[in-house]
Amino acid sequence: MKIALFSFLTTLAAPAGERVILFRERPVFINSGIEHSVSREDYERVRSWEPKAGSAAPLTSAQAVSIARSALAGKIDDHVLQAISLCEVNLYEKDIVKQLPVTGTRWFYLVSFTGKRPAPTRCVVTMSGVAASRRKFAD
Amino acid sequence: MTRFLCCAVISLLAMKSQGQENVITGIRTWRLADGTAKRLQLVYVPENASAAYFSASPGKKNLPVPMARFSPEDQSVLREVASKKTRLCLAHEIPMRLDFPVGPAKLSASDFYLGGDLREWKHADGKSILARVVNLTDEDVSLLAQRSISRVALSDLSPEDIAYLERLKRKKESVLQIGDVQVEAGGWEGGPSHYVLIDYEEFVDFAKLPAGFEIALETALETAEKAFPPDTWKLAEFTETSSHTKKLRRTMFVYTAEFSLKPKSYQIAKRKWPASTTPTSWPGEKCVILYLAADGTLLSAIIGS
Repeated sequence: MKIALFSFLTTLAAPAGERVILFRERPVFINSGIEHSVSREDYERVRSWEPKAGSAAPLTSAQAVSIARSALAGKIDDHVLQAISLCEVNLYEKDIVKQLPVTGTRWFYLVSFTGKRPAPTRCVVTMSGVAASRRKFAD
Repeated sequence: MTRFLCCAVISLLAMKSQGQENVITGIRTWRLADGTAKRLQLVYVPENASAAYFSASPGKKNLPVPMARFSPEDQSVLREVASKKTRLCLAHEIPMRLDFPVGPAKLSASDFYLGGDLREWKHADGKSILARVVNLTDEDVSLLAQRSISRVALSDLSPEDIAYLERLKRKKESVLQIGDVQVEAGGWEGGPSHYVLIDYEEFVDFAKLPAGFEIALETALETAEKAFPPDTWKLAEFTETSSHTKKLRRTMFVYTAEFSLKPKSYQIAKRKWPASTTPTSWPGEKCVILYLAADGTLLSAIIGS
């Protein structure tokens, strides 16, 4: 019964085929940016993990960088790794929080590469090793 | 005369041993035809070699000296510069000053030196010293050892030391900033409110470390677990960046762990890490930032503006 209720709630929160937005790049004073999202199925496959001492992340930072490089192949050939962050969905972005499946938030890697252009090229990698799709959006 | 010959021989040997063009700093005691001599910094010799231009006082035009006024030996050096057989070392990252101070070194964030790697220098008398080059001329080298600067004549150095200096002049050895190095800055209210400064020796050691994301993350979490009561803190974000400046040819990985805090932990953080904890006036979420090196060493932040 519990499983059935859980599945029902999950369906309500994020219908099949819908994408789950994990991160939104929004340059200051510009009403457009890039959304990083994964399919609902991919999101639900991500194992629950919390950063606590003695609990290694399911995916290492080096693996995340390698996945991000492959996902951005052709776009970042002349770029260098600028930063790698371990983060969660920004809880202040209410609409992003609302669309999350009931399984809750999941930690992910945000990998930033820098090249000739001032703005970095970023890639979100889930803890199950899936690189999020990038899509331009406008408010 | 003996010193001139020593310099000339050393330069020539170094040049031949490397099969490269001769590179000089141009800072030496130049001898005039009338028998007098003066230590000056050569800046330029035109192709026609009619005169040589030397650095004058700051803000003034370079001082031209007619070629005929120099001794025959120095005319020969200057003609080599004019014909480009000898190149003037103009790499400004190498410290080359006419009169570099000797004695206790002032090392701070605002008053730093540029210098070479820490290496063993061998004196002709058999003694050796672990030091960094902080100034170079055609006659001597200034060495920084344990925060004290001494000047050693090139003629008193070993062939290995001379070869090292030749590589340095050709940009084949690293030069770094010696003094406190700013590796990170952070803050909440319109610009940085705190800085992470580390000693140059530490920076050099940290720069040798490979990335240590997982090690630094584990240390950050252990530190928070020890410092704060359970359920009063949460990791908000953990980031790896690399720190370097244009003057530094080395890169160090720096890790930033930002923790969201409940009131009880916030009070602890304010006591333990006052510089990198949100100020009480901050209207947003209370948090603390811990800075770490790749081996998990906690780097302390200082308040600054």
